[in-house]
Amino acid sequence: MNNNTNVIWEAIGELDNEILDNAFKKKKKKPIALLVIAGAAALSLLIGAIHVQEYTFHVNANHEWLFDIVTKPHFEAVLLSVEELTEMGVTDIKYDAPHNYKFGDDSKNYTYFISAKPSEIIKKYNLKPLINDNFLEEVTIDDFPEGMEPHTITKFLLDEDYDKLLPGTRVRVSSQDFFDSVEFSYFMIDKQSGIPVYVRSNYDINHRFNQDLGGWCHFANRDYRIVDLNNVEKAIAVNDFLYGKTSIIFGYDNVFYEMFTEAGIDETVQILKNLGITAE
Amino acid sequence: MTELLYNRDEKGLAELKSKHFRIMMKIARGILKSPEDAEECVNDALLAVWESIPPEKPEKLLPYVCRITRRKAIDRLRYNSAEARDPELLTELDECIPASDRYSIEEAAEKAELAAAINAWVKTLSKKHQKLFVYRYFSMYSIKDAAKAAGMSVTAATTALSRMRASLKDCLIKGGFFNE
Repeated sequence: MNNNTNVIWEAIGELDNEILDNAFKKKKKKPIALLVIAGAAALSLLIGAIHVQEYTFHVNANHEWLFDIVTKPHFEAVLLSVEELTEMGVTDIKYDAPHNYKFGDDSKNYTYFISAKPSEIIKKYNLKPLINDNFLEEVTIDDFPEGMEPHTITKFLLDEDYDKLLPGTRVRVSSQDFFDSVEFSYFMIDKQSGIPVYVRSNYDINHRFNQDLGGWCHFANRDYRIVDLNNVEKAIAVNDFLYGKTSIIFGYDNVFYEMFTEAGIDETVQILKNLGITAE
Repeated sequence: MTELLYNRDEKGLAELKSKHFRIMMKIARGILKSPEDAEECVNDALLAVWESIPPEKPEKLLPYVCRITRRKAIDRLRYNSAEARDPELLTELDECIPASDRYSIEEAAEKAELAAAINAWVKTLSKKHQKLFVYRYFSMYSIKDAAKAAGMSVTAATTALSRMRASLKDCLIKGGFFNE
């Protein structure tokens, strides 16, 4: 290489802010057209009625349960054994540090990540995934707006060029307190808008009979804000959350979902519709 | 984010990594063959940003970070010698210098003038071609990736880059940097 070529390379390294800014500025993604499934056809994919819940329940600082929601348990989830996970190709199970809860089972407090489509993994737990043909499960890094990039998805697999996000599912199993629960986290793309959606779903497995409340009760070990889906626009919190600009937590088919999108309220409502989530 | 860094708040560094890690990695990967080297180079660049702000207080953080990443990657490339991801890219800009030219730019002031001339020349390009130029010669992407980033086909990008090199050569001769 000519010496002067080196000087040109160095000079190009000094390109000014305006030029670099224009080059690196992200273009807003164009929506992906829905070619096959649209409108009424998409509605046929609805997977049940929504449970409209307006209540708050949580554990206070003294670990006292505060809740006012009673659901009928019909959960079919079965935890997979370590042997089954190994057979599926899970290579790294991260166990939580021993916790202080009286009724917990430390061997059932762990997280793993698997490079497989969430719909496939969730079905292995005998559960119905909240994914349909309106969504792509293979997400590319380019689909992510800044702020939702690798740092937030370190648990997800990236190819060596950091270009492609391999389909993946994070599974967390928890047996803290009175019940076992399994939580799935995954990304997908809404085909209609091209918007990446992050979903976290929490399925409780065992329920405990609570005499005082006169029935089977649903406990939560996190602070949930359950929203009224009849008034979904008001239920969507718009903020700069870790996984996206908007957040909505809803109960659907007796499962709690937390969903994040990098979108406004109207687009998020449409994404919920595309998921088959509508108020009864 | 710059304010956080300027106030030595580590949140600034975390935010910087979260927001610009990908572009930094892309630049480093464009230059270096090994992903491990690229990752190390990005870490070096993050440290360099942390150490340089303050006293520096860049008006725009992204270009500042990109420049540091590029310099670090080139330093690493020189250290590794001949381990460039795309060795042809390094000689591509030879075309901008007349073969007969014996004059060598060595003075810092002249280098600054050259940088200013290239900046002015880049600004004469369309936005799309600016983007292509930056991705190919600043970020050192492969032609395929640079074309993709600029929203062009590989053939169109190859032709455009060849024309740009010829045009840059003219500009540098007219500017008196090289003799015809």
